[in-house]
Amino acid sequence: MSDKNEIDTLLVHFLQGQLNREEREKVKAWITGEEDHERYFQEFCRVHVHLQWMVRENAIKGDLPMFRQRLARRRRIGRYASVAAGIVLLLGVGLGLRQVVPAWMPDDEYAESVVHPGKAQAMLYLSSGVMVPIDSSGKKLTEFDGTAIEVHENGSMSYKASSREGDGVKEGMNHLVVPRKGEFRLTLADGTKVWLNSESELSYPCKFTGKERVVHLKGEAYFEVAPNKACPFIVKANEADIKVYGTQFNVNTRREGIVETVLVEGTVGMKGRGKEQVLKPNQKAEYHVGDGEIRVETVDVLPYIAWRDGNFVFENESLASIMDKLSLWYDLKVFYKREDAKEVRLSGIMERYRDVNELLRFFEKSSDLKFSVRETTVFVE
Amino acid sequence: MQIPDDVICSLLKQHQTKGIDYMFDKYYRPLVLWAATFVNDIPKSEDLVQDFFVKLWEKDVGRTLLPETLKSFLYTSVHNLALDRLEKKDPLRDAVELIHVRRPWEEYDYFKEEIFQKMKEEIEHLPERSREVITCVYLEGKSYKETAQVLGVAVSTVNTLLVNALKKLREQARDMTEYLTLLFYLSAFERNKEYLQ
Repeated sequence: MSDKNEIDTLLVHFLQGQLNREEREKVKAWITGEEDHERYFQEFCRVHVHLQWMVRENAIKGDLPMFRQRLARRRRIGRYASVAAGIVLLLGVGLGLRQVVPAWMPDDEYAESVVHPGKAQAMLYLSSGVMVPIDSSGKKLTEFDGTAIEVHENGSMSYKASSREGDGVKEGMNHLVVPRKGEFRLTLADGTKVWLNSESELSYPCKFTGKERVVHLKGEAYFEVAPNKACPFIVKANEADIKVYGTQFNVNTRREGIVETVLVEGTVGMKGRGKEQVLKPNQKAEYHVGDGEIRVETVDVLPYIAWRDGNFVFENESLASIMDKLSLWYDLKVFYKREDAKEVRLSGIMERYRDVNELLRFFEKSSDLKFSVRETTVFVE
Repeated sequence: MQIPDDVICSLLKQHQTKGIDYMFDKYYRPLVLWAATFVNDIPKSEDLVQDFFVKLWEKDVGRTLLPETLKSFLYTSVHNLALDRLEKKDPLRDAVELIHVRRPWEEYDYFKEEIFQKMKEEIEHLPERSREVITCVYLEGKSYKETAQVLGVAVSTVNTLLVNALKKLREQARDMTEYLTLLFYLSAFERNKEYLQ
């Protein structure tokens, strides 16, 4: 058995499982006791295994969505047996989120984790004062003046004025309240689109009949105003008026005594007690209720408006401010074991529908902070 | 992004689904390939690994896992399960299925990109026929005979092409042995009892 070719052939065939018993014995005899031979054989083994890995790697089909479904199926069976009612309820809550939640996330998967992201949910007060809870289950309502309100399954709603124009009916006001852990989108009767963030309220007429289109905001909203030169759009927030001439911008009144406007596109004018200040795109204006002053600066708009597209974007932002935003969406309480942690500046990007732990772990890696979550409280040290 | 094992373990300890997600992201593919080293079938290996992950989750094995040993725990378990499955399938299985690769995940871990890149380049240099043979034999798991039929050549040609291809690859890959101690040895000769436990 000294012929090199014969040995090579045998070794390769051995690896392929093509040898009979007699031939295998031959291979064994050749390898055993000879260090060189063993090494030689192992080199074949290595190539063989590497080849297998490489070629087979492409044939692997399973991915996380597939696995999660498998896991969910198994778990659902188990749980139906024990707490049937509970699970039905949990499933029901999340159904409408399908379009926003990454498709792989089965709704019940996160049932066990205590901290959940928010979702599309709000309370709509009709002009009659009746409150209708809305989420992402479809719904059709009609106001007394004939305006049709449609709640869509993607967590938005739209107003359509009736064709009965000019019948002298006065504007009926609607009031939309988005709680913590909520968000909602709506299209007003004039076609203006509004994104309402968590813990925010908007009052607006269900159709616009006057010389101005006036809405009232508390909290945070992003506006994409339908242009209409003859009839300006005005957002009243705290004591500031934001006058719009067809444009996109974000308004935030969350900080005590401050109304913040960030302009993305077009022109807006901001007016408090003093004179009107006109903003250009990429400018941020802060109206300070205390002294009635408006401070304007140029900013990168992305961190201010990312929430509209379902993201958190933090750029060199203080932990205190970051946690304020996270706690609205995840309904968290934050406990700082060291006070200076609030001032630590961090950056990070995450989808709003993901687990908050992902972001916290990331912050841990990029700072010397430690986060631990117990129930719905985040401890920072 | 690969999540460190200690993060995975601590999430699993709290029975957080994120833990099993991260584990899947990081270990699923290597474990499937590792299982396939014994089972020689990708769909079956995928099934095996998914099954293993499901059990791990349901039995809450995560409570006992340690970051230092997570990797070896996973590979050893999958190894055992694979042999188990083989045992059930064919108690008198072919000896070659018992090539035992000791700690190959370390190799896989450290050299994954490198190995794959290198292999790809090397395969590019092979004659087209050899590449076809490799695909048939390795990817599709065809026997020499079937391969010969598919490619419309004689069995002896398949033989030769494969031997030549592996020889060439072996020569090109030889310098890699220097990185590592010898990882491979043949257990077929020792008979397999100890690996079945």
